[in-house]
Amino acid sequence: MGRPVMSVEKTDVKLGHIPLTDCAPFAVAKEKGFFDEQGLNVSLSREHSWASIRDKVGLGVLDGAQMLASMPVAARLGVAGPRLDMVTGFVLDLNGNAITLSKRLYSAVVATDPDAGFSPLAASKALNLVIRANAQNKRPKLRFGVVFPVSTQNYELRYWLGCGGTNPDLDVEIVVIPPPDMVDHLKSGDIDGYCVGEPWNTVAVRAGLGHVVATKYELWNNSPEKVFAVSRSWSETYPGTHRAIIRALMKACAWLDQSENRLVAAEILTKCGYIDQELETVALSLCGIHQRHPDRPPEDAPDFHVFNRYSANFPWLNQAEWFIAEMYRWGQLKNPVSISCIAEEVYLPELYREVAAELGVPCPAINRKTEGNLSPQMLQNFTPHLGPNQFIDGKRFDVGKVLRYLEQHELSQANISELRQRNETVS
Amino acid sequence: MKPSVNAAPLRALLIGVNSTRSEKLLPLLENLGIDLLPKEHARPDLYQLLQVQQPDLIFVDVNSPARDTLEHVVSSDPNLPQPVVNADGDLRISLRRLAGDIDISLYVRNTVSPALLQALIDITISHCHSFDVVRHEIALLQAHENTELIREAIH
Repeated sequence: MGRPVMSVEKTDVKLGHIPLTDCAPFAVAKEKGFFDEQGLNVSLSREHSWASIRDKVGLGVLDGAQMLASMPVAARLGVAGPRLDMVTGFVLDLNGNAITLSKRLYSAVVATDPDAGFSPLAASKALNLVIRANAQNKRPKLRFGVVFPVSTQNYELRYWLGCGGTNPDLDVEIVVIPPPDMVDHLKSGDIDGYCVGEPWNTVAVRAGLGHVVATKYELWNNSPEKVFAVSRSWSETYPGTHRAIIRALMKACAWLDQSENRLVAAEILTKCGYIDQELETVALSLCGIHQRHPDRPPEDAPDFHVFNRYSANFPWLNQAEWFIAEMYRWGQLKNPVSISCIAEEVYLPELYREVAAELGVPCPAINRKTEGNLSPQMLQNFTPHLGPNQFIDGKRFDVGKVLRYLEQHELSQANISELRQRNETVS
Repeated sequence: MKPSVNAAPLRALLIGVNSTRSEKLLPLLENLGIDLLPKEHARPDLYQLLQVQQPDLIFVDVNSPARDTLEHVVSSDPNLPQPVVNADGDLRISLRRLAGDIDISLYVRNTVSPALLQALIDITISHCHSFDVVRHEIALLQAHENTELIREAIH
């Protein structure tokens, strides 16, 4: 039995989502009646771009929406777009993205190092050799697609390229392409690879057009992917409604993480018009089966999508800080800000804690945790409240050591000495 | 609202705006003395197109799949039009109506004054709204005439 809940100020609510596999918490909350249970009459609006979602939430056309975990932080800072006060008290899912290379580029990478077909790190290093050879032969730069300038996918692709010594701003070209168009662009040869959420990696692999060389899980185990975000002013005007939505999403995410419900979720997504793809394509990754190569059997990937376990829904402040660090690393953010203060303004762990208490759900007692220090082996016999959190390159992101983390990276545009003046206490 | 004779006309680009809405916008822009840049283009060309065309204003369908690409292009060049979302008071209400009722998002170069921006948005909303009202009334009138014709035919 949880603590008493606030009354709902607004019952008719319009929420936006993008047609991706990980819009499942919204679809499930709607179709399984979790929104109704909270006294909410929710209409879901299928949106076509992240910019549209940002604008509509910012202007109050939508009450709230699914957003990339980095988006509310970027909006608060005005990075690569207008400055808007967004907040999130709920992470919708972990993992779920992958990097796919065209068949031709994959062949070149594997010809350079056969291990590249099995190791994301080896693939990154082999790709760097391919890029250097291309440059020597005066060939055009390789082109990669991501979904939004401040997307998790952009930071993941850049991280992976950086691990192999490739400078994403100088050695390749990164363009923004809507997720449903990625496969067509790969097919036409307009791009050589991309980083995107499901089902668009599986679609390319099943069509024999590409190979997955790295998953988001492999780049940073159990990192946040999408959040439920609203504008700060909306949150202050409708605190009871905000909590009711989070309660519904919390129940939907718990339902989704029961393995027996995953196929049902895939049916909801494909049959109720949330994603225009075949059931099998969506069900594969959702059921923990990942097809990385057209010519090899699918692999078990039980954590490809995580919706609830490992305290997945908790908005960890250090994860918001990681996004800010990446914005500095890649030159999207230049003016020095207090990284911890911005994270605290946007990610709201206390709100999550209050809602969890209302439902009697356990949640972390701390707001930050170290990343990069827990391997799957270390956690084998423990309860599922914490998951593995390793980075592909073995680096650590210690609590309060954002600048030290940034200093570990050779490829970085961050001005550490300037940042140190604003972040003395946390680094 | 028309710019002075000596001022270079503003140049606008429409992206992803369907023919119904561009029918409404074209005469409006013409009356305001705003030049319309060549209309349709393939999405991947947005990177080149904006650098070549250098528009002052971009009207983009709120639901255009090209939005995120456009966002990337303009975020890498502050001299290009930037999205107008962050506003208070009347401008916020106008922007909300523009996005929510007319399905248009606006990108504006920072040389466009706030007063001109507010006027431009209000005129666009008013014009598109009037256009819809007239169209609705014509449809009602036609439906009424058809009903009368049917009645006459029956009796």
